Amino acid sequence: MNDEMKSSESESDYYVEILGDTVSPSHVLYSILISIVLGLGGFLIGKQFFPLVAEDTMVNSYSLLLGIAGCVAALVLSAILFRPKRILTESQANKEDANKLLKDLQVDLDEEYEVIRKDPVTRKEMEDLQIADIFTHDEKEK
Amino acid sequence: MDIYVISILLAVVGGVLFTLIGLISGSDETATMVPFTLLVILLGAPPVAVFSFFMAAVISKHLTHAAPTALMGIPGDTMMVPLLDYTETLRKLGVPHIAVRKMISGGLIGALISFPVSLLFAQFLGQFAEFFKEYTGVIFAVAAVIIAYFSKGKWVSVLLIVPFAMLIQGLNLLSFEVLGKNLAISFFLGIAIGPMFSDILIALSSSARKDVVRKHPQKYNLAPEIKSWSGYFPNPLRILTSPQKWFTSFSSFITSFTFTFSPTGMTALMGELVGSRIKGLYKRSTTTVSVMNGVTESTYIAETIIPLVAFGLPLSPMALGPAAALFNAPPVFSVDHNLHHLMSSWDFFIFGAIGLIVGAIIAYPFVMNYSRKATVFIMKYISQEAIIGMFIAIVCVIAYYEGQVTGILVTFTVAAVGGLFNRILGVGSGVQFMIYYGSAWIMAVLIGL
Repeated sequence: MNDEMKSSESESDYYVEILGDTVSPSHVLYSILISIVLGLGGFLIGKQFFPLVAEDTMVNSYSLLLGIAGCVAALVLSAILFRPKRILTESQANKEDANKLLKDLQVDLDEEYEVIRKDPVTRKEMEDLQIADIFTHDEKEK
Repeated sequence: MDIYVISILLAVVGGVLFTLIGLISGSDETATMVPFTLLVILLGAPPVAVFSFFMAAVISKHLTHAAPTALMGIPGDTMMVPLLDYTETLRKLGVPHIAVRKMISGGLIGALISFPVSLLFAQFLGQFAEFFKEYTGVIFAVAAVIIAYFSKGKWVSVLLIVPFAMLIQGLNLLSFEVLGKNLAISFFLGIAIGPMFSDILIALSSSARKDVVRKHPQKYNLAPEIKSWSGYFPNPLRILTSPQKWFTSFSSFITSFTFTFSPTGMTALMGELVGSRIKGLYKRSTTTVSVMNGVTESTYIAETIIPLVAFGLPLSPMALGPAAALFNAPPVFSVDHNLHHLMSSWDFFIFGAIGLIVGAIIAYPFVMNYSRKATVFIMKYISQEAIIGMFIAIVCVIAYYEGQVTGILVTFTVAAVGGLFNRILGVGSGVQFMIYYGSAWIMAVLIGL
């Protein structure tokens, strides 16, 4: 199953960035369709079914809960069908990544360096998290 | 059974239930709090226990909703939208679990400050209610201009306030014509999913697509775990740095009084005010998210307690939304016979405290201890595709719940316009929420609507 997924993914030759993460365009469309069918479907089925067993005032609330449950079921189903495209590394950012990040976030390096230099509490936090280097790479080289 | 035992039990139920609901991205507060609170009331729970249940639910949902926001970049609910820019920055830096911890520590401090403050304030209030009610529109219009000027888009944001207000009121009129009632959640959801929806629209456009196409998958560097506390229960005061504690406490204190304002609007306002004063990307982002989540808690608690204790009338956005069932739950409660009439000030203090403490004990350490593990799990196993699909579907379900097909159309119209304003022109979500709240007043002044 997993191997099959991988081979089908390698066929997609480009990704699209949505909310800061990369996705495969066709997988997004399928996932949206699945989710809407299960979510709205759950809600509409609830509107038909609950009047038979519950009080009138609660029908909308129960249906809403069923709709939300449908959305959660769709999340699980889509998560199984479509694997994440992101790459997770649990190590320090290397220099290339760091530079891309700085450009991406439009960082003013002088300002950053001054904060790191003048604020020991923040510096300690950043050093513990191993992200202080991202902002000071260039300083060291000067 | 003893009333205290029932209250504690219901607080535990509320705490556990909403700790889990908070983890689901995009679960709307009104849409989830109202049905469950109504359920508890209609099942015949004593009024004081209903209050404990509600307070436990409020605090635990508002602690755990930080997790999807920071870890996945999808707002835990509409209140989280103003935090998105900052949590995205921290996510890119590889420290989303730190963002979660800062947020919920700020949230806990916000709750502990606003609970006694708003309870005391409610004792004195009465006479000012009309003033706040009367000037809400003006205050939000002015706030929209200020925040717009300080946003990324600056002048274009200021310039677009009136057209966006016009769009909102136009859609509002149209939906009133069709449904015979005003929509609120649909507008909120539209602003909330705007940035995501515009990414999708851009990807669908053959002329704009090149901006969002990537050859390689996104890389994330996840920072190592640092656990600065021993045992299961961390001390929130040690998670935040001194300035973070002060900014959070101060803004929670202030916002405990602003009970007629939009919680989301106040969150954006206080957060941006503090954020604009702080230099350094990491420092600014972590401080802003602490303050903002502190404010989401304090406004939520204050906006529930002040109208409930002082008037027994739903006079705040919160009281008209998630807390609505405490004011009016026929046949058990009505505006002439609700918690205000059934509980003394001491009852509010004691049973509110039970709810807050129980909720905090359940949600806070859970999120603190497992946020990084949860991050790894989500990043490895839950694809962005699945999250986007679920989020769009939840929005459709809730918009349909509020206004059938009209609700869905309103949501996606606002999402398309607001999202492109946000992504391409830099008109932030916070500005858009303010415009939404000020739009009725703006249009009344300009064209006498």
